[in-house]
Amino acid sequence: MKEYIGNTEQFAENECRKIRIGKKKLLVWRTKEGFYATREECPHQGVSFECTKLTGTMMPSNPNEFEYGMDGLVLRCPWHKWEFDVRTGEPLFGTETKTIKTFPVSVEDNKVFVEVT
Amino acid sequence: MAVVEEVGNKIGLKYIDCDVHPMINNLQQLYPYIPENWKRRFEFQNIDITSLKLPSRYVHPAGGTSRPDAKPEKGIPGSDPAFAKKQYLDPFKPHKVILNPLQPSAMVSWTNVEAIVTLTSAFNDYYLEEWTEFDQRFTLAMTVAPHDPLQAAAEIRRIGDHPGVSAVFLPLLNTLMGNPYYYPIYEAAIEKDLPIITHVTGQEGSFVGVPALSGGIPRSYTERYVNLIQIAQSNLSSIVFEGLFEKFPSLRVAFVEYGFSWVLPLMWRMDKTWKELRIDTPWVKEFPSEIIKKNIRFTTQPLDEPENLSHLKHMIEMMDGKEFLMFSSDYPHWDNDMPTRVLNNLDKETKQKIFYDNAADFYRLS
Repeated sequence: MKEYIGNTEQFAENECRKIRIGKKKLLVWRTKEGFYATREECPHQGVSFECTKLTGTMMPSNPNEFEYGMDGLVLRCPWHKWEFDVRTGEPLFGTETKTIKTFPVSVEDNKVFVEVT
Repeated sequence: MAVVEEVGNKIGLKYIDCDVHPMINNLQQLYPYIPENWKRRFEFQNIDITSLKLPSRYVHPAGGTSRPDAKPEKGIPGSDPAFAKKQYLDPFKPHKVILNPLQPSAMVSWTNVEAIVTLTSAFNDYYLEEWTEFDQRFTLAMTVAPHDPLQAAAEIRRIGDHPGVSAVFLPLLNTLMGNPYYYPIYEAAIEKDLPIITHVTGQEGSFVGVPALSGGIPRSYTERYVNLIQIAQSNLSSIVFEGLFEKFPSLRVAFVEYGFSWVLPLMWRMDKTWKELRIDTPWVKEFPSEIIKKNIRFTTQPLDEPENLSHLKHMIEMMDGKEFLMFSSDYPHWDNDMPTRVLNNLDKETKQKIFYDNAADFYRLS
């Protein structure tokens, strides 16, 4: 079911808005690529991602080289620093098997909708 | 891989022993392999066998580190290949034993690099001629002097193709194994398709320049003995998190005589921490435990002996130890584990891998 959750200007880039739909607690994120919605809590120890901002990460590299990438697409847990791709909820680079549940988001005439199944 | 075969020994299993220690009785035994000028130098210095290992802080509480019954008629335990053959090879019938010479490794506490390099080469030549040619079951982990990695690499290139050489014994300085300092040694070992093994040298915690022990200076031999695993732990972490196998994918490394019961909890901790802080070492591209299982081996001695031996068996199962453990006896030392008396409760496949397959693959000994 598609739910209207606000207009685009109400969302800041790399940040989220907390959304409640029924009993579901979601965070809707605005990235430079678009809008994405995730479950609010980390699948590890349940901390809310609400207080964090999207960031980038260090990409797999050669020894003693750092390559920054995925700017604004990485959801890093504020506690144990697990990293997820905000677009898919998948953990980065095989570090974990637990994923964050995601929800489809669409934008129509500056209105943001999330689909909760 | 090889299958279990009846070889007429007491174990009923073809096996490789990854840790046997040959010794010399006096420096004169090395003289045929030492250039004349250096021979004179050593004569002037009046150095002898006791000079090879500087007096350590830690004296064995029972008078010595060797088995008294391993003493040949003449000389110290481990000094006579014929006696070792009679006492160990013939009755136990190992397929191969890896000779890990400790006297040259103890020179990590020395500072005169040229003297160390000269003596190390002499030791290598001596053991190749006097031991590996005496019985082809003896195969040598040739020692290199870590004090000068370029000369160490040259030594590997000098004798690395000798059929009696099966590994490179890298005694450690107080520099961790993942450090680029050792790269020339690794490059030469890979070039010769030889694995790197490292082993306790007996000098740990006693001198500046050798591996320090964590937390402080232990008071007794016993304290230091149980704490030696700290060195292996630090070096294992270094190898993994410095990305050594990203740099050298074909490098093979073994920790010898550090036991293995500490590996499982360290793998757990490394995996957890990598999961959390991967951005600190982004060149580590898979779980540390997977890197370890693929590239690193551990020998079994000194085996921990919980009162309920099934706990040890469970630990080996929990850590997937059949894939990366290798049997070692440490003959002729006081704390040796003899192959007929240890690990008897393992299943047939696990025993086959630990006693033979893993070492045959690691050392290229089939």
